[in-house]
Amino acid sequence: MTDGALVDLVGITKQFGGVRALKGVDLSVRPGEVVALVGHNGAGKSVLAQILSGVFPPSSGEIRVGGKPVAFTSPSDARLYAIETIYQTLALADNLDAPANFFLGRELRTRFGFLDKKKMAEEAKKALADLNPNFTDIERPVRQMSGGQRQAIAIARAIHFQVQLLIMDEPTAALGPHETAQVGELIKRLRAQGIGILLISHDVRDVLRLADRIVVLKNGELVGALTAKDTNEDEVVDMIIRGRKLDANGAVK
Amino acid sequence: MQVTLSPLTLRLFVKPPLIPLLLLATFVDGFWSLGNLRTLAESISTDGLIVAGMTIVMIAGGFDLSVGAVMAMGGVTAVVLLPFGIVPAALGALIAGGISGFLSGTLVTRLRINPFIATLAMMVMVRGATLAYTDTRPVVGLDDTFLALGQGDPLPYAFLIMIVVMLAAHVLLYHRPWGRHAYAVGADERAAQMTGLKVNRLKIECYMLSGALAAFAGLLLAARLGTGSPIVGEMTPLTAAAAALIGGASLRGGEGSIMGALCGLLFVGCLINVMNLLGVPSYYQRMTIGGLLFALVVVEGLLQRARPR
Repeated sequence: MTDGALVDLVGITKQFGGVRALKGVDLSVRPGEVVALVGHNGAGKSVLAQILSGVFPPSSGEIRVGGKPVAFTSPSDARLYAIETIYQTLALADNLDAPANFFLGRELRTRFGFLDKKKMAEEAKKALADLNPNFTDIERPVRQMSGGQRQAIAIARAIHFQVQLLIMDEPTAALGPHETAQVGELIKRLRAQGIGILLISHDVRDVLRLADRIVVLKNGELVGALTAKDTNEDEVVDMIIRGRKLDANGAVK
Repeated sequence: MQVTLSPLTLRLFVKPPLIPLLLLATFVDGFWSLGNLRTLAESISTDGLIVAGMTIVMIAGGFDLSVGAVMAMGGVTAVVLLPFGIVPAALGALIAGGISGFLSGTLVTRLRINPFIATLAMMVMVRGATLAYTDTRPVVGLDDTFLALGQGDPLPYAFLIMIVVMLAAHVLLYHRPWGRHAYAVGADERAAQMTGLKVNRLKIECYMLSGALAAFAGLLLAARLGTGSPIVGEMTPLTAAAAALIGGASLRGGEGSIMGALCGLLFVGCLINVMNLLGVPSYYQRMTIGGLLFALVVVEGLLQRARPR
Protein backbone atom coordinates (compact mmCIF):
# COMPACT_ATOMS: atom_id res chain seq x y z
CA MET A 1 0.00 0.00 0.00
CA THR A 2 0.94 3.62 -0.36
CA ASP A 3 1.62 5.72 2.73
CA GLY A 4 -1.01 8.36 3.40
CA ALA A 5 -3.34 7.05 0.76
CA LEU A 6 -7.06 7.68 1.12
CA VAL A 7 -7.89 4.44 -0.58
CA ASP A 8 -5.89 1.43 -1.74
CA LEU A 9 -7.13 -1.29 -4.02
CA VAL A 10 -4.97 -4.38 -3.66
CA GLY A 11 -5.04 -7.29 -6.09
CA ILE A 12 -8.64 -6.66 -7.11
CA THR A 13 -10.17 -9.27 -9.41
CA LYS A 14 -13.70 -9.53 -10.71
CA GLN A 15 -15.29 -12.46 -12.44
CA PHE A 16 -18.70 -12.29 -14.13
CA GLY A 17 -19.60 -15.88 -14.94
CA GLY A 18 -16.81 -16.97 -17.26
CA VAL A 19 -15.58 -13.47 -17.96
CA ARG A 20 -12.63 -12.10 -16.02
CA ALA A 21 -13.29 -8.37 -16.03
CA LEU A 22 -10.42 -7.52 -13.67
CA LYS A 23 -7.29 -9.59 -13.21
CA GLY A 24 -5.58 -8.27 -10.13
CA VAL A 25 -5.50 -4.48 -10.08
CA ASP A 26 -3.60 -2.34 -7.56
CA LEU A 27 -4.46 1.32 -7.30
CA SER A 28 -4.13 4.08 -4.71
CA VAL A 29 -5.50 7.57 -4.46
CA ARG A 30 -4.04 10.14 -2.06
CA PRO A 31 -5.79 13.21 -0.67
CA GLY A 32 -5.78 16.11 -3.12
CA GLU A 33 -4.69 13.89 -5.97
CA VAL A 34 -6.45 13.38 -9.27
CA VAL A 35 -5.86 9.90 -10.62
CA ALA A 36 -7.14 9.26 -14.10
CA LEU A 37 -8.18 5.78 -15.17
CA VAL A 38 -8.02 5.36 -18.93
CA GLY A 39 -8.46 2.49 -21.33
CA HIS A 40 -10.64 1.14 -24.08
CA ASN A 41 -14.30 0.27 -23.68
CA GLY A 42 -14.41 -3.01 -21.83
CA ALA A 43 -10.98 -2.57 -20.28
CA GLY A 44 -12.60 -2.75 -16.83
CA LYS A 45 -12.65 0.92 -15.85
CA SER A 46 -16.29 1.08 -14.86
CA VAL A 47 -16.14 -2.28 -13.12
CA LEU A 48 -13.25 -1.03 -10.99
CA ALA A 49 -15.13 2.17 -10.22
CA GLN A 50 -18.25 0.26 -9.23
CA ILE A 51 -16.28 -2.03 -6.92
CA LEU A 52 -14.81 1.01 -5.21
CA SER A 53 -18.24 2.63 -4.90
CA GLY A 54 -19.78 -0.51 -3.43
CA VAL A 55 -22.12 -1.50 -6.28
CA PHE A 56 -20.73 -5.02 -6.19
CA PRO A 57 -17.92 -6.69 -4.24
CA PRO A 58 -14.65 -7.84 -5.84
CA SER A 59 -14.18 -11.57 -6.47
CA SER A 60 -10.90 -11.34 -4.62
CA GLY A 61 -8.54 -8.66 -3.39
CA GLU A 62 -8.87 -5.97 -0.78
CA ILE A 63 -10.18 -2.44 -0.50
CA ARG A 64 -8.45 -0.37 2.18
CA VAL A 65 -9.62 2.99 3.40
CA GLY A 66 -7.00 4.91 5.39
CA GLY A 67 -4.96 1.69 5.48
CA LYS A 68 -7.73 -0.43 7.04
CA PRO A 69 -9.43 -3.21 5.06
CA VAL A 70 -13.12 -2.61 4.46
CA ALA A 71 -15.95 -4.56 2.83
CA PHE A 72 -18.77 -2.74 1.07
CA THR A 73 -22.10 -4.50 0.68
CA SER A 74 -23.79 -1.51 -0.96
CA PRO A 75 -23.01 2.01 -2.12
CA SER A 76 -24.36 3.29 1.18
CA ASP A 77 -21.44 1.51 2.88
CA ALA A 78 -18.98 3.33 0.65
CA ARG A 79 -20.71 6.60 1.49
CA LEU A 80 -20.06 5.93 5.18
CA TYR A 81 -16.34 6.13 4.31
CA ALA A 82 -16.94 9.41 2.44
CA ILE A 83 -16.57 7.78 -0.96
CA GLU A 84 -18.99 9.36 -3.40
CA THR A 85 -19.59 8.46 -7.02
CA ILE A 86 -20.86 10.26 -10.08
CA TYR A 87 -21.96 7.40 -12.31
CA GLN A 88 -21.81 7.50 -16.06
CA THR A 89 -25.56 6.78 -16.10
CA LEU A 90 -25.99 9.47 -13.41
CA ALA A 91 -28.26 7.10 -11.42
CA LEU A 92 -31.17 9.50 -11.18
CA ALA A 93 -34.81 8.55 -10.59
CA ASP A 94 -36.51 10.16 -13.58
CA ASN A 95 -39.90 10.44 -11.90
CA LEU A 96 -38.63 12.45 -8.93
CA ASP A 97 -37.66 16.12 -8.88
CA ALA A 98 -34.19 17.52 -8.31
CA PRO A 99 -34.35 17.91 -4.51
CA ALA A 100 -35.70 14.35 -4.16
CA ASN A 101 -32.84 12.99 -6.25
CA PHE A 102 -30.34 15.20 -4.48
CA PHE A 103 -31.27 13.78 -1.08
CA LEU A 104 -32.22 10.28 -2.23
CA GLY A 105 -31.25 7.81 0.48
CA ARG A 106 -30.35 10.51 3.03
CA GLU A 107 -33.46 12.60 3.24
CA LEU A 108 -33.76 15.37 5.77
CA ARG A 109 -36.54 14.70 8.24
CA THR A 110 -38.59 16.72 10.64
CA ARG A 111 -38.63 15.85 14.32
CA PHE A 112 -41.43 13.35 13.70
CA GLY A 113 -39.64 11.49 10.93
CA PHE A 114 -41.49 13.08 8.03
CA LEU A 115 -39.76 14.41 4.94
CA ASP A 116 -38.62 17.99 5.42
CA LYS A 117 -39.41 18.94 1.84
CA LYS A 118 -39.00 22.68 2.32
CA LYS A 119 -35.53 22.45 3.77
CA MET A 120 -34.43 19.89 1.17
CA ALA A 121 -35.67 22.12 -1.66
CA GLU A 122 -33.81 25.10 -0.22
CA GLU A 123 -30.53 23.25 0.26
CA ALA A 124 -30.69 21.57 -3.12
CA LYS A 125 -31.46 24.86 -4.81
CA LYS A 126 -28.46 26.48 -3.19
CA ALA A 127 -26.12 23.62 -4.05
CA LEU A 128 -27.29 23.51 -7.66
CA ALA A 129 -27.04 27.28 -8.04
CA ASP A 130 -23.40 26.98 -6.95
CA LEU A 131 -22.75 24.81 -10.00
CA ASN A 132 -25.06 26.59 -12.42
CA PRO A 133 -26.62 29.93 -11.41
CA ASN A 134 -29.28 29.59 -14.13
CA PHE A 135 -30.56 26.31 -12.80
CA THR A 136 -33.45 27.42 -10.59
CA ASP A 137 -36.51 25.56 -11.86
CA ILE A 138 -35.66 22.45 -9.89
CA GLU A 139 -38.99 21.17 -8.63
CA ARG A 140 -40.09 19.12 -11.61
CA PRO A 141 -39.36 15.51 -12.59
CA VAL A 142 -35.77 15.25 -13.78
CA ARG A 143 -36.90 13.45 -16.95
CA GLN A 144 -37.96 16.90 -18.15
CA MET A 145 -34.48 18.34 -17.64
CA SER A 146 -31.57 18.80 -20.02
CA GLY A 147 -28.49 16.59 -19.99
CA GLY A 148 -26.44 19.33 -18.37
CA GLN A 149 -28.99 19.91 -15.64
CA ARG A 150 -29.21 16.20 -14.89
CA GLN A 151 -25.43 16.03 -14.72
CA ALA A 152 -25.44 18.99 -12.36
CA ILE A 153 -27.75 17.13 -9.97
CA ALA A 154 -25.53 14.04 -9.99
CA ILE A 155 -22.41 16.14 -9.38
CA ALA A 156 -24.00 18.39 -6.75
CA ARG A 157 -25.24 15.51 -4.63
CA ALA A 158 -21.87 13.77 -4.76
CA ILE A 159 -19.95 16.78 -3.43
CA HIS A 160 -22.55 18.24 -1.09
CA PHE A 161 -22.14 15.67 1.64
CA GLN A 162 -18.96 14.61 3.38
CA VAL A 163 -16.64 13.49 0.60
CA GLN A 164 -12.99 12.45 0.69
CA LEU A 165 -12.79 10.37 -2.44
CA LEU A 166 -14.85 11.30 -5.47
CA ILE A 167 -15.20 8.78 -8.27
CA MET A 168 -16.21 10.37 -11.55
CA ASP A 169 -17.18 7.93 -14.30
CA GLU A 170 -17.09 9.78 -17.64
CA PRO A 171 -18.31 13.00 -16.06
CA THR A 172 -18.18 14.99 -19.28
CA ALA A 173 -19.45 12.41 -21.77
CA ALA A 174 -22.88 14.05 -22.10
CA LEU A 175 -21.73 17.66 -21.88
CA GLY A 176 -20.95 20.47 -24.29
CA PRO A 177 -17.58 22.29 -24.32
CA HIS A 178 -18.66 25.02 -21.92
CA GLU A 179 -20.04 22.59 -19.36
CA THR A 180 -16.98 20.35 -19.77
CA ALA A 181 -14.77 23.30 -18.89
CA GLN A 182 -16.90 23.90 -15.81
CA VAL A 183 -16.39 20.34 -14.66
CA GLY A 184 -12.64 20.86 -15.15
CA GLU A 185 -12.75 23.92 -12.91
CA LEU A 186 -14.71 21.97 -10.35
CA ILE A 187 -12.13 19.17 -10.30
CA LYS A 188 -9.36 21.70 -9.65
CA ARG A 189 -11.36 23.30 -6.86
CA LEU A 190 -12.05 19.95 -5.17
CA ARG A 191 -8.41 18.93 -5.46
CA ALA A 192 -7.40 22.18 -3.77
CA GLN A 193 -9.72 21.21 -0.89
CA GLY A 194 -7.75 17.99 -0.43
CA ILE A 195 -10.34 15.67 -1.96
CA GLY A 196 -8.98 12.68 -3.84
CA ILE A 197 -10.48 12.13 -7.26
CA LEU A 198 -10.60 9.02 -9.41
CA LEU A 199 -11.43 10.26 -12.87
CA ILE A 200 -12.51 7.81 -15.54
CA SER A 201 -12.43 9.22 -19.03
CA HIS A 202 -12.03 8.52 -22.70
CA ASP A 203 -10.75 11.97 -23.39
CA VAL A 204 -6.96 11.77 -23.20
CA ARG A 205 -6.50 15.52 -23.63
CA ASP A 206 -8.86 16.22 -20.75
CA VAL A 207 -7.07 13.69 -18.63
CA LEU A 208 -3.64 15.20 -19.32
CA ARG A 209 -4.94 18.61 -18.36
CA LEU A 210 -6.66 17.56 -15.13
CA ALA A 211 -4.92 14.54 -13.68
CA ASP A 212 -1.79 14.17 -11.58
CA ARG A 213 -1.35 10.51 -12.41
CA ILE A 214 -2.65 8.46 -15.30
CA VAL A 215 -3.31 4.77 -14.91
CA VAL A 216 -3.93 2.63 -17.98
CA LEU A 217 -6.16 -0.44 -17.94
CA LYS A 218 -6.23 -2.99 -20.71
CA ASN A 219 -8.23 -6.23 -20.67
CA GLY A 220 -8.68 -6.02 -16.92
CA GLU A 221 -4.99 -5.47 -16.17
CA LEU A 222 -2.98 -2.44 -15.20
CA VAL A 223 -0.58 -1.86 -18.07
CA GLY A 224 0.87 1.49 -17.24
CA ALA A 225 1.11 4.35 -14.79
CA LEU A 226 2.28 7.76 -15.91
CA THR A 227 2.82 11.13 -14.28
CA ALA A 228 0.68 13.57 -16.19
CA LYS A 229 3.28 16.33 -16.34
CA ASP A 230 5.99 13.99 -17.69
CA THR A 231 4.00 12.46 -20.49
CA ASN A 232 2.09 13.41 -23.59
CA GLU A 233 -0.94 12.42 -25.60
CA ASP A 234 0.96 10.08 -27.90
CA GLU A 235 2.48 8.11 -25.07
CA VAL A 236 -0.86 7.66 -23.29
CA VAL A 237 -2.69 6.66 -26.46
CA ASP A 238 0.11 4.26 -27.33
CA MET A 239 -0.22 2.64 -23.94
CA ILE A 240 -4.00 2.37 -24.21
CA ILE A 241 -3.69 0.65 -27.58
CA ARG A 242 -0.61 -1.52 -27.20
CA GLY A 243 -0.68 -1.96 -23.47
CA ARG A 244 2.75 -2.70 -22.09
CA LYS A 245 2.86 -4.65 -18.88
CA LEU A 246 4.69 -3.35 -15.83
CA ASP A 247 7.30 -5.37 -14.00
CA ALA A 248 7.36 -5.66 -10.22
CA ASN A 249 9.13 -2.33 -9.75
CA GLY A 250 6.55 -0.46 -11.76
CA ALA A 251 8.92 0.02 -14.69
CA VAL A 252 7.89 -0.67 -18.24
CA LYS A 253 9.32 -3.92 -19.60
CA MET B 1 -56.25 23.86 -29.24
CA GLN B 2 -54.89 22.58 -25.99
CA VAL B 3 -57.23 22.35 -23.03
CA THR B 4 -55.58 22.28 -19.67
CA LEU B 5 -57.47 20.70 -16.81
CA SER B 6 -56.51 20.87 -13.19
CA PRO B 7 -55.36 17.52 -11.77
CA LEU B 8 -58.46 17.27 -9.59
CA THR B 9 -60.81 17.97 -12.53
CA LEU B 10 -58.94 15.40 -14.56
CA ARG B 11 -59.25 12.89 -11.72
CA LEU B 12 -62.97 13.37 -11.28
CA PHE B 13 -64.16 13.79 -14.86
CA VAL B 14 -61.73 12.14 -17.23
CA LYS B 15 -59.39 9.68 -15.66
CA PRO B 16 -61.58 8.05 -14.38
CA PRO B 17 -64.88 9.64 -15.47
CA LEU B 18 -66.15 9.27 -11.92
CA ILE B 19 -68.58 12.22 -11.86
CA PRO B 20 -70.14 11.34 -15.24
CA LEU B 21 -70.62 7.79 -14.00
CA LEU B 22 -72.28 9.04 -10.81
CA LEU B 23 -74.56 11.31 -12.84
CA LEU B 24 -75.51 8.43 -15.11
CA ALA B 25 -76.12 6.30 -12.06
CA THR B 26 -78.80 8.77 -11.00
CA PHE B 27 -80.98 7.25 -13.72
CA VAL B 28 -80.54 3.83 -12.19
CA ASP B 29 -83.31 3.11 -9.72
CA GLY B 30 -82.15 2.94 -6.16
CA PHE B 31 -78.51 3.96 -6.71
CA TRP B 32 -78.73 6.94 -4.37
CA SER B 33 -80.78 5.10 -1.75
CA LEU B 34 -79.18 4.83 1.68
CA GLY B 35 -79.30 1.06 1.57
CA ASN B 36 -77.45 0.92 -1.72
CA LEU B 37 -74.85 3.48 -0.68
CA ARG B 38 -74.17 1.32 2.32
CA THR B 39 -73.76 -1.74 0.13
CA LEU B 40 -71.41 0.27 -2.06
CA ALA B 41 -69.39 1.45 0.94
CA GLU B 42 -69.14 -2.12 2.22
CA SER B 43 -68.02 -3.55 -1.08
CA ILE B 44 -65.36 -0.93 -1.76
CA SER B 45 -63.95 -0.95 1.74
CA THR B 46 -62.48 -4.45 1.63
CA ASP B 47 -61.30 -3.93 -1.94
CA GLY B 48 -59.90 -0.55 -0.87
CA LEU B 49 -57.38 -2.12 1.49
CA ILE B 50 -56.23 -4.34 -1.35
CA VAL B 51 -56.06 -1.48 -3.85
CA ALA B 52 -53.87 0.47 -1.41
CA GLY B 53 -51.45 -2.46 -1.18
CA MET B 54 -51.54 -3.12 -4.91
CA THR B 55 -50.81 0.55 -5.65
CA ILE B 56 -47.77 0.53 -3.38
CA VAL B 57 -46.45 -2.66 -4.99
CA MET B 58 -47.01 -1.19 -8.46
CA ILE B 59 -45.27 2.07 -7.56
CA ALA B 60 -42.20 0.02 -6.63
CA GLY B 61 -42.37 -1.67 -10.03
CA GLY B 62 -44.10 -4.91 -9.04
CA PHE B 63 -47.49 -6.53 -9.23
CA ASP B 64 -49.44 -8.80 -6.89
CA LEU B 65 -51.80 -11.39 -8.35
CA SER B 66 -52.04 -13.25 -5.05
CA VAL B 67 -54.20 -10.65 -3.24
CA GLY B 68 -57.52 -12.48 -3.74
CA ALA B 69 -56.21 -15.81 -2.51
CA VAL B 70 -54.47 -14.13 0.42
CA MET B 71 -57.73 -12.38 1.26
CA ALA B 72 -59.51 -15.74 1.48
CA MET B 73 -56.66 -17.16 3.57
CA GLY B 74 -56.79 -14.12 5.88
CA GLY B 75 -60.53 -14.54 6.45
CA VAL B 76 -60.23 -18.25 7.15
CA THR B 77 -57.21 -17.76 9.43
CA ALA B 78 -59.02 -15.10 11.43
CA VAL B 79 -62.14 -17.20 11.91
CA VAL B 80 -60.14 -20.27 12.86
CA LEU B 81 -58.20 -18.29 15.48
CA LEU B 82 -61.29 -16.53 16.80
CA PRO B 83 -61.69 -18.87 19.81
CA PHE B 84 -58.40 -17.43 21.13
CA GLY B 85 -59.80 -13.89 20.97
CA ILE B 86 -60.15 -11.22 18.38
CA VAL B 87 -56.65 -9.81 18.79
CA PRO B 88 -54.90 -13.15 18.13
CA ALA B 89 -57.28 -13.64 15.19
CA ALA B 90 -56.35 -10.30 13.66
CA LEU B 91 -52.64 -10.81 14.36
CA GLY B 92 -52.81 -14.29 12.87
CA ALA B 93 -54.38 -13.00 9.67
CA LEU B 94 -51.86 -10.16 9.39
CA ILE B 95 -48.92 -12.49 9.98
CA ALA B 96 -50.20 -15.07 7.48
CA GLY B 97 -50.62 -12.33 4.86
CA GLY B 98 -47.22 -10.89 5.70
CA ILE B 99 -45.52 -14.26 5.32
CA SER B 100 -47.15 -14.84 1.96
CA GLY B 101 -46.01 -11.37 0.85
CA PHE B 102 -42.53 -12.12 2.13
CA LEU B 103 -42.40 -15.26 -0.01
CA SER B 104 -43.64 -13.39 -3.10
CA GLY B 105 -41.12 -10.62 -2.50
CA THR B 106 -38.31 -13.11 -2.03
CA LEU B 107 -39.16 -14.87 -5.29
CA VAL B 108 -39.22 -11.53 -7.10
CA THR B 109 -36.01 -10.11 -5.64
CA ARG B 110 -33.59 -12.89 -4.72
CA LEU B 111 -34.61 -15.30 -7.49
CA ARG B 112 -35.36 -12.53 -10.01
CA ILE B 113 -38.66 -14.09 -11.06
CA ASN B 114 -41.12 -11.93 -12.94
CA PRO B 115 -43.68 -10.55 -10.44
CA PHE B 116 -46.64 -11.86 -12.46
CA ILE B 117 -45.27 -15.40 -12.44
CA ALA B 118 -44.09 -15.29 -8.83
CA THR B 119 -47.37 -14.00 -7.45
CA LEU B 120 -49.36 -16.28 -9.77
CA ALA B 121 -47.57 -19.20 -8.15
CA MET B 122 -48.27 -17.76 -4.70
CA MET B 123 -51.91 -17.23 -5.65
CA VAL B 124 -52.41 -20.85 -6.65
CA MET B 125 -50.46 -22.17 -3.67
CA VAL B 126 -52.27 -20.03 -1.11
CA ARG B 127 -55.67 -20.76 -2.63
CA GLY B 128 -54.89 -24.46 -2.71
CA ALA B 129 -53.73 -24.48 0.91
CA THR B 130 -56.82 -22.57 2.03
CA LEU B 131 -59.16 -24.92 0.17
CA ALA B 132 -57.34 -27.95 1.51
CA TYR B 133 -57.43 -26.72 5.11
CA THR B 134 -61.14 -25.90 5.00
CA ASP B 135 -62.03 -28.89 2.85
CA THR B 136 -63.55 -26.25 0.49
CA ARG B 137 -66.25 -25.40 3.06
CA PRO B 138 -66.65 -22.01 4.73
CA VAL B 139 -65.57 -21.91 8.35
CA VAL B 140 -68.14 -20.33 10.65
CA GLY B 141 -67.23 -17.99 13.46
CA LEU B 142 -69.83 -16.86 15.95
CA ASP B 143 -68.13 -14.25 18.08
CA ASP B 144 -70.26 -11.19 18.80
CA THR B 145 -67.36 -8.72 18.78
CA PHE B 146 -66.15 -10.15 15.52
CA LEU B 147 -69.56 -10.00 13.86
CA ALA B 148 -70.03 -6.43 15.14
CA LEU B 149 -66.85 -5.49 13.29
CA GLY B 150 -68.73 -6.31 10.10
CA GLN B 151 -71.44 -3.77 10.95
CA GLY B 152 -71.19 -0.11 11.95
CA ASP B 153 -73.74 2.67 11.80
CA PRO B 154 -74.21 4.91 9.89
CA LEU B 155 -70.95 4.04 8.13
CA PRO B 156 -69.61 0.48 8.14
CA TYR B 157 -66.53 0.09 10.34
CA ALA B 158 -64.75 -1.47 7.39
CA PHE B 159 -65.25 1.74 5.43
CA LEU B 160 -63.75 3.84 8.23
CA ILE B 161 -60.82 1.41 8.47
CA MET B 162 -60.32 1.71 4.72
CA ILE B 163 -60.20 5.50 4.96
CA VAL B 164 -57.65 5.30 7.79
CA VAL B 165 -55.52 2.84 5.81
CA MET B 166 -55.65 5.03 2.70
CA LEU B 167 -54.58 8.06 4.73
CA ALA B 168 -51.74 6.11 6.32
CA ALA B 169 -50.63 4.83 2.92
CA HIS B 170 -50.70 8.36 1.55
CA VAL B 171 -48.53 9.63 4.40
CA LEU B 172 -46.16 6.70 3.94
CA LEU B 173 -45.77 7.42 0.23
CA TYR B 174 -45.54 11.21 0.32
CA HIS B 175 -44.20 12.17 3.67
CA ARG B 176 -41.80 9.42 4.63
CA PRO B 177 -38.45 8.60 3.03
CA TRP B 178 -39.66 5.03 2.50
CA GLY B 179 -42.32 6.12 0.02
CA ARG B 180 -39.91 8.25 -1.91
CA HIS B 181 -37.55 5.29 -2.13
CA ALA B 182 -40.42 3.15 -3.45
CA TYR B 183 -40.97 5.62 -6.29
CA ALA B 184 -37.24 5.67 -7.04
CA VAL B 185 -37.02 1.88 -7.09
CA GLY B 186 -40.03 1.65 -9.39
CA ALA B 187 -38.60 4.17 -11.82
CA ASP B 188 -35.10 2.73 -12.12
CA GLU B 189 -34.06 -0.11 -9.89
CA ARG B 190 -30.40 0.02 -10.89
CA ALA B 191 -30.12 3.73 -10.32
CA ALA B 192 -31.80 3.30 -6.95
CA GLN B 193 -29.31 0.62 -6.01
CA MET B 194 -26.38 2.78 -7.10
CA THR B 195 -27.74 5.57 -4.91
CA GLY B 196 -27.41 3.20 -1.98
CA LEU B 197 -31.07 2.26 -1.54
CA LYS B 198 -31.79 -1.24 -0.26
CA VAL B 199 -33.81 -2.24 -3.30
CA ASN B 200 -34.54 -5.88 -2.45
CA ARG B 201 -35.51 -5.13 1.09
CA LEU B 202 -37.85 -2.37 0.04
CA LYS B 203 -39.57 -4.52 -2.57
CA ILE B 204 -40.06 -7.36 -0.11
CA GLU B 205 -41.58 -4.87 2.33
CA CYS B 206 -44.01 -3.75 -0.39
CA TYR B 207 -45.21 -7.30 -0.98
CA MET B 208 -45.49 -7.91 2.77
CA LEU B 209 -47.60 -4.80 3.12
CA SER B 210 -49.81 -5.90 0.25
CA GLY B 211 -50.17 -9.39 1.74
CA ALA B 212 -50.99 -8.10 5.22
CA LEU B 213 -53.57 -5.65 3.87
CA ALA B 214 -55.20 -8.34 1.73
CA ALA B 215 -55.41 -10.71 4.69
CA PHE B 216 -56.90 -7.98 6.85
CA ALA B 217 -59.43 -7.26 4.11
CA GLY B 218 -60.29 -10.97 4.31
CA LEU B 219 -60.87 -10.61 8.04
CA LEU B 220 -63.26 -7.70 7.51
CA LEU B 221 -65.10 -9.59 4.79
CA ALA B 222 -65.42 -12.63 7.04
CA ALA B 223 -66.80 -10.42 9.81
CA ARG B 224 -69.41 -9.02 7.42
CA LEU B 225 -70.39 -12.40 6.02
CA GLY B 226 -70.18 -14.19 9.34
CA THR B 227 -68.02 -16.91 7.76
CA GLY B 228 -64.49 -17.35 6.52
CA SER B 229 -64.93 -18.52 2.96
CA PRO B 230 -62.06 -20.18 1.09
CA ILE B 231 -63.46 -19.21 -2.31
CA VAL B 232 -63.82 -15.42 -2.04
CA GLY B 233 -61.66 -12.99 -3.95
CA GLU B 234 -61.37 -14.80 -7.23
CA MET B 235 -61.87 -11.58 -9.20
CA THR B 236 -60.10 -9.37 -6.66
CA PRO B 237 -56.66 -9.13 -8.34
CA LEU B 238 -58.33 -7.95 -11.53
CA THR B 239 -60.63 -5.37 -9.97
CA ALA B 240 -57.80 -4.13 -7.77
CA ALA B 241 -55.43 -3.87 -10.72
CA ALA B 242 -58.08 -2.06 -12.76
CA ALA B 243 -58.66 0.42 -9.93
CA ALA B 244 -54.93 1.02 -9.45
CA LEU B 245 -54.30 1.45 -13.18
CA ILE B 246 -57.27 3.80 -13.57
CA GLY B 247 -55.89 5.72 -10.62
CA GLY B 248 -52.61 6.40 -12.41
CA ALA B 249 -50.40 3.49 -11.41
CA SER B 250 -48.34 1.98 -14.20
CA LEU B 251 -47.13 -1.50 -15.03
CA ARG B 252 -43.70 0.05 -15.61
CA GLY B 253 -43.54 1.24 -12.00
CA GLY B 254 -42.66 4.59 -10.51
CA GLU B 255 -46.11 6.08 -11.00
CA GLY B 256 -49.34 6.16 -9.07
CA SER B 257 -50.86 7.70 -5.98
CA ILE B 258 -53.29 6.86 -3.22
CA MET B 259 -55.66 9.68 -4.18
CA GLY B 260 -55.74 8.28 -7.70
CA ALA B 261 -56.25 4.77 -6.42
CA LEU B 262 -59.18 5.96 -4.30
CA CYS B 263 -60.83 7.49 -7.38
CA GLY B 264 -60.14 4.33 -9.38
CA LEU B 265 -61.62 2.26 -6.58
CA LEU B 266 -64.77 4.40 -6.46
CA PHE B 267 -65.11 4.18 -10.23
CA VAL B 268 -64.79 0.41 -10.40
CA GLY B 269 -66.95 -0.01 -7.29
CA CYS B 270 -69.72 2.18 -8.72
CA LEU B 271 -69.52 0.42 -12.06
CA ILE B 272 -70.01 -2.99 -10.46
CA ASN B 273 -72.71 -1.62 -8.19
CA VAL B 274 -74.66 -0.15 -11.11
CA MET B 275 -74.37 -3.40 -13.01
CA ASN B 276 -75.74 -5.23 -9.98
CA LEU B 277 -78.66 -2.82 -9.72
CA LEU B 278 -79.40 -3.28 -13.39
CA GLY B 279 -79.35 -7.01 -12.92
CA VAL B 280 -76.43 -7.59 -15.27
CA PRO B 281 -75.47 -11.28 -14.94
CA SER B 282 -72.12 -11.85 -13.27
CA TYR B 283 -70.55 -13.32 -16.43
CA TYR B 284 -71.17 -10.09 -18.26
CA GLN B 285 -69.83 -8.18 -15.27
CA ARG B 286 -66.65 -10.17 -15.53
CA MET B 287 -66.45 -9.43 -19.21
CA THR B 288 -66.84 -5.74 -18.45
CA ILE B 289 -64.10 -5.65 -15.82
CA GLY B 290 -61.87 -7.80 -18.03
CA GLY B 291 -62.55 -5.51 -20.99
CA LEU B 292 -61.78 -2.47 -18.87
CA LEU B 293 -58.48 -3.99 -17.75
CA PHE B 294 -57.70 -4.94 -21.34
CA ALA B 295 -58.36 -1.39 -22.52
CA LEU B 296 -56.19 0.03 -19.74
CA VAL B 297 -53.29 -2.23 -20.60
CA VAL B 298 -53.60 -1.41 -24.30
CA VAL B 299 -53.62 2.31 -23.56
CA GLU B 300 -50.61 1.90 -21.32
CA GLY B 301 -48.81 -0.03 -24.04
CA LEU B 302 -49.52 2.70 -26.58
CA LEU B 303 -48.33 5.37 -24.16
CA GLN B 304 -45.18 3.41 -23.54
CA ARG B 305 -44.44 3.31 -27.25
CA ALA B 306 -45.26 6.98 -27.69
CA ARG B 307 -42.99 8.01 -24.84
CA PRO B 308 -39.68 6.17 -24.95
CA ARG B 309 -37.95 6.29 -21.62
